[in-house]
Amino acid sequence: MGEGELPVLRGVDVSIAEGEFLAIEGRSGSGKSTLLHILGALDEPTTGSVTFENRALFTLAQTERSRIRNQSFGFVFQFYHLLPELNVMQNAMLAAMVRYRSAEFRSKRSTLRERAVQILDSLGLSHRLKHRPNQLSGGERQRVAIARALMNEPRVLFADEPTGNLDAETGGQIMRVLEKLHQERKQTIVMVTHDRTIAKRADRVLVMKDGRLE
Amino acid sequence: MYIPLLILKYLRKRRIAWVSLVAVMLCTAMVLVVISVMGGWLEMFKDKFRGMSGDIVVYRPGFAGFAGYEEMTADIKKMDGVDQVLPLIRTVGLWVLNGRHPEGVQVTGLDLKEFSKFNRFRETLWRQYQKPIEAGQKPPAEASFDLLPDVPYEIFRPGDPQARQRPGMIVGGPLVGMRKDKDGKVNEPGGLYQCWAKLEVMPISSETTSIVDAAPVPNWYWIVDASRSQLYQLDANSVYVPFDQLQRDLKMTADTYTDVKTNKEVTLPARCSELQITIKPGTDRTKLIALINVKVQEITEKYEPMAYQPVRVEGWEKQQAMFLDAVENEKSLVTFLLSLISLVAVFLIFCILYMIVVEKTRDIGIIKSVGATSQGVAAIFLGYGLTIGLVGGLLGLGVAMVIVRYINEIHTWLGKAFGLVIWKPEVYAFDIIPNTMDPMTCVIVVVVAILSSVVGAVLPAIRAARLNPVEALRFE
Repeated sequence: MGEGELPVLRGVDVSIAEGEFLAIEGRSGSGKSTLLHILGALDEPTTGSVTFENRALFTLAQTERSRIRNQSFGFVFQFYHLLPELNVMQNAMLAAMVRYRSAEFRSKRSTLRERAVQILDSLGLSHRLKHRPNQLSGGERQRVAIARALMNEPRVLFADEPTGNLDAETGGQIMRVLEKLHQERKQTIVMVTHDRTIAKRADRVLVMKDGRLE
Repeated sequence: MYIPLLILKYLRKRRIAWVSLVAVMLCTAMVLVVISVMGGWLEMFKDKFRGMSGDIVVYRPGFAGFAGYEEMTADIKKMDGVDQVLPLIRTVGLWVLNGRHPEGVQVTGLDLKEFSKFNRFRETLWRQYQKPIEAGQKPPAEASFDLLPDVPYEIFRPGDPQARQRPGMIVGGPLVGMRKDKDGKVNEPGGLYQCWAKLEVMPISSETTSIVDAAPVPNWYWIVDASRSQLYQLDANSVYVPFDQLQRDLKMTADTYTDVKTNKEVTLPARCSELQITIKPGTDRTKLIALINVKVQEITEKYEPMAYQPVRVEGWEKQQAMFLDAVENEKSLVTFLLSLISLVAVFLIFCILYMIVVEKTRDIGIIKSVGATSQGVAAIFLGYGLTIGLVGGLLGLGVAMVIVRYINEIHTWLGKAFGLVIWKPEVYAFDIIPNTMDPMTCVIVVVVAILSSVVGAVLPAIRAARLNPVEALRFE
């Protein structure tokens, strides 16, 4: 950040088991989002390593990391981060469009569309497929983001303050979606939040303070 | 799949990019219209000059001409690949129409009957070709300087006992005020074929050192036709007369004199200014020029060993290089300048795409977060530039095709609506603006437009590719 180097994480050592729902709780500026981004290979640590399925992520080429991010990880962000020019269906299918080249995508189009419709339907969005993000509520946008994250059947779902921009009731709805994913599909979820009540809904909670996990 | 989808979405939704698309379109159209008009102009020049000339020309610069042309003609005609050889005389003279309108003119003496079969000069003649064609009639097979049988010439030159023996003359149309009216119809001046012209020429030989020695020789001619070659600069000051008549007036006929050293009679053969030579299809012109040159120098050496100026043997283009090179250079220069101006479009694309990359920083972060590579992100913006170039280039091609196709109608409309006349026959050689397009030129210009647009997109694409996804997601 800024012009100089600012240490954010000061020695973090964490293991995440398959099927686990882990919450990392901490105040703003504690480094929890930075940790999440590093775990999801969105950002690179200055020292240290991340191992996923026995592979050290940051020894791999950028293109390979991108492939893992596309096929094995899914991201849900606090501010949804949907592409404004694409409709709900297209946003949900974005990860699949990145995964497959044009010719292959066209050959799998109907299967992929079916999967996207199924996911969106399970999230209560089947009546919004042609709408664009600016026509949706906050909760609907976050559900589209979750659909996008699930499109490629990720091994790990990373959620960065998924309820941070929502009111309590809508936030609760989103949490119920994540819990359902965890319970029904044994989805591995790593979530960061500043809200203790939200964090407590995970299997395990770690507290981040001044760049360290407690 | 995301790359073409996002390119199309951004093209449709980001309307600022349409500005760069319009810039590409206008630059493409501008370059194509200019290349087509100037290229067409050059081709028309070449075609018209070509139609008035042989394939090879033998000539000596200046007005003195060269001797031995009859011997050269006989020898050249025997060479393989040679079709026809015809002599011409070219000089300048003072031309006065009906005793009242003096003009300095280029005078060409030719055997019109032979020339009719030699090149397209016959097609430039108004009375003996163009007028019958316009009337749906068949023109005479040969053109001639013959007087019109139904004109009482004695009445129009009373006091001239040789009125009916005067030779015929063909004049350039503009010399006698022949032009197209606003409806495109040629106006033949009334009484044209009852007009006579006095032509004074100056006999000049290689020994002439003073204008006093070249005392003008007058002759009187009847106007029997007008030439409209569409080469205005040629038509505006040219007259054509019988070869034999001009040769006599210029004292270029065979001349016998006594050599002071040997006291013997020496005959200097007749002179002409040019030999126009046509060749048979498939003949190697360069080789033939070399052979003819050997023969010409041999004969010139025999009759004019002390001549200062050599006789040249050249292809017709080289002889007309003065006109053609000027147009060629103008075309190249204007094309280069317009292409330079088109760099503005490249810069515009760069600025607009750079702006879009900044605007789309967060989107780039999103795309990278779902696993797109840096190369994939760069491909979006390079593809965006390519699409702008392709669509703009094709639209520009369409606009250019319409403009070029209807350029004369547009010009006429501008003249009627605003009094704006850009293409003046007095300045330019032709009375119509060239309106054809070369397909290969179109392809090249559109391809260059596309490549230029991609070049404009390179730096923005690199910036997009290098964005850190986390920082991009935080961008406001």
